Order: sequence, then C-alpha cells, then structure tokens
Amino acid sequence: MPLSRVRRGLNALTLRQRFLVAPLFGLALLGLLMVAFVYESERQNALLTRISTHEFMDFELYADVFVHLSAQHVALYALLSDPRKTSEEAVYDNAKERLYAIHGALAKIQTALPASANEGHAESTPLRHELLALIHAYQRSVTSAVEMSTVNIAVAPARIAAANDRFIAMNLAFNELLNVQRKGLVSEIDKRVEQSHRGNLVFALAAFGGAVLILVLSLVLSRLLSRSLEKQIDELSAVGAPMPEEGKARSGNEIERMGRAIATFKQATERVTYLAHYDSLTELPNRTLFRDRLIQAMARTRRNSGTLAVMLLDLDRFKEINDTLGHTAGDEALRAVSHMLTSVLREIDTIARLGGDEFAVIVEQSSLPHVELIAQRIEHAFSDPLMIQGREFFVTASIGIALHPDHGRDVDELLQSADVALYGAKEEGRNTHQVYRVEMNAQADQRLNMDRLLRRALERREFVLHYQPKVALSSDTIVGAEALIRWQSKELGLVGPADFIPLAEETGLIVPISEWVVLTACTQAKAWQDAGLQPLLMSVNLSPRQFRQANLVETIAAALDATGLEPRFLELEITEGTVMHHADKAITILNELHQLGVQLSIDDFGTGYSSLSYLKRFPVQRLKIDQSFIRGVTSDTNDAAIVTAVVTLAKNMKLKLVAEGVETDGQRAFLRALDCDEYQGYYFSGPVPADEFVRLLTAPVSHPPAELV
Amino acid sequence: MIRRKSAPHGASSRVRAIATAALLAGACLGTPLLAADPDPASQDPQSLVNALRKGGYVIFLRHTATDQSGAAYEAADLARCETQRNLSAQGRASAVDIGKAIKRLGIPVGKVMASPFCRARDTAQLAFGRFTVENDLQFVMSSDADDAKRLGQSLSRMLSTAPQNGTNTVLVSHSANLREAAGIFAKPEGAAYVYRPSRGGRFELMGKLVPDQWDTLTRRARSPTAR
Repeated sequence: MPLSRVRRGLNALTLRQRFLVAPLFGLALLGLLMVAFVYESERQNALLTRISTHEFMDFELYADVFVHLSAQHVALYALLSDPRKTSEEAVYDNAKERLYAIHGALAKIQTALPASANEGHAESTPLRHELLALIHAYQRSVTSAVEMSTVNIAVAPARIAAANDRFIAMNLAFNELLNVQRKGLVSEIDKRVEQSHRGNLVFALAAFGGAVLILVLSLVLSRLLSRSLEKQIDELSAVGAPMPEEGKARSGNEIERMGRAIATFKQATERVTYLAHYDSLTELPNRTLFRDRLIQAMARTRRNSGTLAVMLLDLDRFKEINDTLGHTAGDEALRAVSHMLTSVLREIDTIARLGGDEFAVIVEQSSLPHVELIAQRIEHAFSDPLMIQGREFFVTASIGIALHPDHGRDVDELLQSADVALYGAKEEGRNTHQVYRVEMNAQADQRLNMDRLLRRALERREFVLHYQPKVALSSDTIVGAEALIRWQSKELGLVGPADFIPLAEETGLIVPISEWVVLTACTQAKAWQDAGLQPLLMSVNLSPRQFRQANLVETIAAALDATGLEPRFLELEITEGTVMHHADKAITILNELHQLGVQLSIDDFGTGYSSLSYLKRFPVQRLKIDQSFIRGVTSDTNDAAIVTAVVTLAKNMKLKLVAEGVETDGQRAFLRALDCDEYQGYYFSGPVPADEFVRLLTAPVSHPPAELV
Repeated sequence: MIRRKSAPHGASSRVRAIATAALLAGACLGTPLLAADPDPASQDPQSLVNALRKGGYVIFLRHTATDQSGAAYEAADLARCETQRNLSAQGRASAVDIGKAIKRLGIPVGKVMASPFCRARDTAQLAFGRFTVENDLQFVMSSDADDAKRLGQSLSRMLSTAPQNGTNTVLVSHSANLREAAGIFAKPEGAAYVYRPSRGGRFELMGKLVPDQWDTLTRRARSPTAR
C-alpha cells in the first residue's frame, strides 16, 4: 500500500523537516506557476504581436499599393481626359507603364486579399468577393480605356470616365473591406486580450488553489504531527494519574500539554519512588529506606569509629485498638505516634515505620547512656494519652535497643539483636525498653522454641486440665472446680500457664486451646456426674481474646451440646479487666452467655477499673476477689476493709462471692466470719489432676495442700 | 481580362525603371524612325508593290477596322471571339479587299502568321484564306511589361527573318506590337508596313500602305501600263 508507505515516510520526518515540507512544496508550486505564467504571457504577447505585425503589415501593404494605384490611375485619368493634347501613340507610350503598374498593383491586392481574408472574419467574405469583382471590373475598364484610346483617341475621355467610376467603386469597396477587417482585427485583439485576461484569471485561481492546497497540506501534516504528539501525551498522562478531567486537560497547545504530561509523569515517578521508600500513612521512611539509611549510617559510624543505636519500637496491644475502634482509629493512632516520635527525637535521627505497629529509630553518634535517655524520653511521651476520635487513649510501646558495632557488625545482625531486645522488653511486661544482652538470645530462642512446640501441643495432646476445688465456707465441702490448663511438653517438661498462656494469647493459639479447655472441662464434669459424684460447678477461664471472639456463644453452646452437660453446671470466669474493657459490648456478650444458661463470674475483682454502674448491669452470678486482697486480709487493715466492703457489696447485689488464694486458716476464718460464700486456695488444695480431684471429692478435707505447682 | 501574375514589389519597380529606360531608348531609337516615318502620300506605292512582287519582305499588317462600340469588350477571352473587339463590317470588307488586291497585284504571299486575337485571325482568314496562329503576335497591351518587351523582341525577330525565296511573310498583329518592335505605332487599322529583313536581326522599313491605297493600286494594275 503506497499510502501507508507515504504515511510511514511522513512519520519518520523530524519536526523541522515536517514544518519545511509545506512551505517548500508551496515554493515549488509557486515557482512552477510563475514559470507557466511567464511562458503563457510571452505566448500571448507573441500572438498579439504576430497578429498586429502581420495584420498591420497587410494594411501597410494595402496602403502602399493603393497609394501607388491611385497615383497611376489619376495620371491615366489626366492623360486620357483631354484627347486634344495627345494621340494614340502618345497614349500608348505614356499609358502602358501606368497600365502595367496598375495591373501589378491590382494583382498584388488580389493575391493579398485571400491571405488576409483567411483570418476568418465571416463578415468580410461577401465584401471580399464584391471587392474582387470590382477590382476585375476596374481592371477591365481601365485596360479597355487605354486600349480603346490607342485605337481611337476620341473615346478616351468617356472610357477613362467609366474606368474612373469603377475605380471609385473599387475604392469604396476596398475601404469598407478594410474597415471590416480593421474592426475584425480590433475585435480579434480584444478577444486575445480578454483571453489573456482570462488566462490571468485562471492563473490567479490556480495560484489560489495552490495556496489552498498548501494550506490543506500544511493542516494535514500538522494534524499528523499533532496526532502523534497527542498519542504520546495521552500515554504519558495515563501513567501519571487517573484520566484527568477533560476540559482542563485539553487546554493549551501540544507543547504545553506535553510539558504538563511530562510533569505529571515525573510526579508519578517521584510518587512511585516516594511510595517505594516512604510509608504513606505516617510519611515516615518505610522498611526499605530504613534499611538503606541504616547501612549508610553504619558505614559512617565505622568511619568515625563511633557508636550507633537502633531502636525497634512495638506498640503494645495495638491490635486491640484496631479491633475495637476500627482501622480509622488505628491509623489515627499510628499517625499520632509518629508525630510524637518526631517531636521527641532529633532531626538527624531517622524514624521509620516498618509496618503494622512497628517503628524503628536510628540514633547516630550515640552511646548507651544517651540512647537510654532517649528511650526514657519516648516512654515519658507515651505516658501522655493520645487523642483518637475525640477520646483519650493511653498507648504504650515496647522498645528493643541494639548498638553498633557492639551488638552487630552488619545490618542484619544488628537488627536481629534489636529484635531480641524488643522481645525481652515485651517479656518484661511491656511499656519498657531493653538493651540487648547476649543472654537474651537464649530467651528469644526459648520463646521461638516454645512457640513452635506450643503449636504442636494441641495435636500431640500435651495439654492436661488440672482442677482446683472451690469450697463452700459454710459447709467446707467442694462445690465447684476451676479448670486450669497445664502443658506436658515432651521437650520442655511441665510448663505452667504463666509461661505459655501469654505466648498463646499473642499468637492467637489461645483460641483453639481455650476451646479445648471448655470442651474437656465439660466432658469431665459430665463424666463425674455420670459417675455419680455430687454435682459440681465447673469453672473455666475465658481469656480476653476468647471473650472477644465472635463465635464465643456458639463455641460454648457447641461444647455443652457435645458433652450433654447442663449449662447451669458450667461457669465462665472473666477477669474484671477484660469485662470492663469496652463494657457496653461486654454486657451484650454476657447477656448472650447468660441466655445460654451458663453461670458467669467476674474474676480478679478489684484489680481493674471497675465501674459499678456497669457491674449492676452485668448478668453475673459471682464475684471472685483477687488473691492480692485475700493475702493481706489478716495483716492489712485496708485489705480487710476492702474485702469486707466487697462481701457486703456482693451480698447486697445478690452476688455470690468467691475468695481466691486462701492459704491460711486465719484467712479462711476471716472470710467465714464475713459470710463469704466460697473460697479457693492452697489452704484446701491446689489444682490437681482429675483422678486426684475425685479422691478429694470422696475423701474428707485434708490439709495442707496436695500439690504445689 | 486576363489575370496577370503578380509581380513582386521590388521587381515591378525595377521593371518600371527598365521599361522607362527602354521606352526612352525606344523613343531615342524610334525618334529618327518616327522622323523618318514615310508619309504614305509622299512615298511611291507602286515601286513598293514592284519590290513586293520580287519577294523577300516581311509585311506587318495591322488588323482591319474594328467595331469600337464594344462595351462588352472588357473581358477578353482568346478562345471566344464574342468577348473581343472584332472586325466591323467595314473591316471585314476591307480585309477581303486587301487580300484580293494583293493577289491581283501578284504579290507572292508565303507564310501568314496572325495574332490569336479574333480580329487578327479574321483579317488573315478573310485576306489570305489561311494563316497560322503565332501567339507572340498577340496584343502587347494585354500583357505586362516583361511580356511586352519579350513580344517586342519576338516581333523584331520575325521582322528580321527573311522569308522563303520569292515570297513575303505576312504578320497580322496589332498597333502596339509594332511600336514595341519597331517604334512605329501602326495606324490606322489595316495599315501594312513593309520591312526588309537583314542580317544581324535588323530590319528596314520600306514603306507603308493604308487600306485605301490598295484599291488605287489595283485599278492601276488593271490598266495595261501595269507590270
């Protein structure tokens, strides 16, 4: 396809070439036109000149000839008019020359006539014929006049008079013919001039047409150019941003728009670069940039032989904020934290968000005391509440610190050390900082190890429930059992809940573990009932995580269904802290559980922020006073007062009260005196395996405790 | 009228000059001849006749009298006599008479050449009963200047050509022709000019006889003193 080839060829031209094409073409066209015009002009001129010279030559010829003819005729006339002055011979001698001249002239005229008449003047043809006739007539008459005069001189006058008449007639005819021819010539010239004018008009039109053509060509080429540019602009624009609004985007010429598109593209590239290196939420450097900066900072530190500190910062229980308040609040919290950190730290220090609730700080030109100071400053800052959604929230962080070159020679080693230190901080109860120590590795390893083993524990059936009896103070009989989980790890041996429950809570393993606990407890309770033992209330602890589970009620119900245990024989213990945390929601859950028919009690009562207004709304049956109060009930008047108050409160609210951690008889007696309902503690028995518990059920009360774990 | 060829512009002026020169020359030549033109009355016609009987002369005979009323004469066509100025009744009679007279006088006639014009031919026919047409004897005025010269020269040659021994040549032609050849305007119509041809293209006028004279000569010849 020649057309596509042309298009390709056109597209291959540079801008300059393209802009030159139309004008060059135009110039060429103009040149051609001018040449043609000049040529045509010359031709017309030549034609006109030819006509005029040719035609007028004829006229001149005629004029010459006629003058000559007339002269001869007049002479003849004179000669023949007066016969007395002459004779036949004299006439012959004088007249013959004149006659011959006349003959010659007439002949010339006659031959000239057709040639000039052939110019095509239609009007002149009859005239021409007439003239020829008259010429012949004159010729004959003048010849005869002369001849007759040579025969008889007497007839000369009459003859020459006749010839004269013919001459005049001829003259007139010739005159008329010449007139006609002249008119014809004039009209011919006019026609030629008009033609020439028309020719000029044609040229003008052609030039105009050429100009239009050039214009069109120019437009087409520029359109092609524009279109290819637009294509580029569109592609470029598309990269930068979602399709821009039509009106604004299409303003300006291609160059401007190209510029804008490029600017947008640059922006996009910058943004990509930014996004690659910065966290979009907090505008802090992200993990990638942090790592880069750390490497550079470490290199600098090595050159200066100084010390560099890395701080890894984890927000404590951030998931709770996210889960309870929603992600928007969570984002706000993160932003608030980043602002706070920025205000606390120096500008030269790098603060980064590594992801989730993890932050990191690089402190250059530092030392151990210096970085500890900074950590304290951070903790102090965290002690102020954050404003999230118009409410105050206290957020704390665990900080792990590692120093370079002491705690790591390369970036991975250093970060690993900081991570271990962070874990240590968490282990220390959070809201604290820990500087890396070599020993921590062991702890971390241990934790990793335990985590790994714990995950397998359930399927390896390494868990076992021990039961701690709850004793009625009035009767000294076992009325219930609190199911407590133990882990018989093959590798680690017996692991107490204090050692693995927090880990389970963190990892979420607590959920399946708790489910197992509930199921096992129910099963055991049912088994005991089926064995004919006195009915007991089986208590199971619900972890905070478990309490927040969406399918908690279903799980409990399922366990009851599966085991066939009546709901009233199952008690769920929930810590005061857990239930007071987002108390409104707690009410709903408690109500749902209550509707199942299970019993509910508030554990560790007195240790949390209890709201009595909520307490009265909770559908609970029991309160369990935390052991910390019981421990001092005989020695500390405050504890005694508190316990007394709580007992009174419970009684007045028609709640049963269970005292935890009774280890002495004195404590028991005190509680008995207060008319507390039940107690639990090593005084009677610690948690024991199921078979041991049965023995306890069937045997009389024994002191001291059977098991100490 | 005969269509003549056109002469080129330059040529005709040249011809004119030459013609003028020729005319002048002719005039110069002819003047003495003119001067020497023998008056018909003064010369002795008888001696002329006697000479003629011996033969060896060229007789230039102008055609006899023509009808001059000819308004129709203007378009002469050699092929058609009705377009020409022809012999009148008198001319015809005159021609017959001249022929008879020549015979009666015992003038031997050899060649008879006539101009193609009807009047000449008729004259020849009526006078001699035979003739040959000689185109060069045609009326010189019907040609152009070049032709006129040529015809003049031709006539000159004829006039200088000796006839067969013992005969006379008769040339029947026109007035102007003799003017061209010999400088004599032959008139009147029917006039006869007798020339003696000599070597070198020359010719000498011996005498002239007008138509009336023939009659007188004949009557005289009829008398016994004749011969």
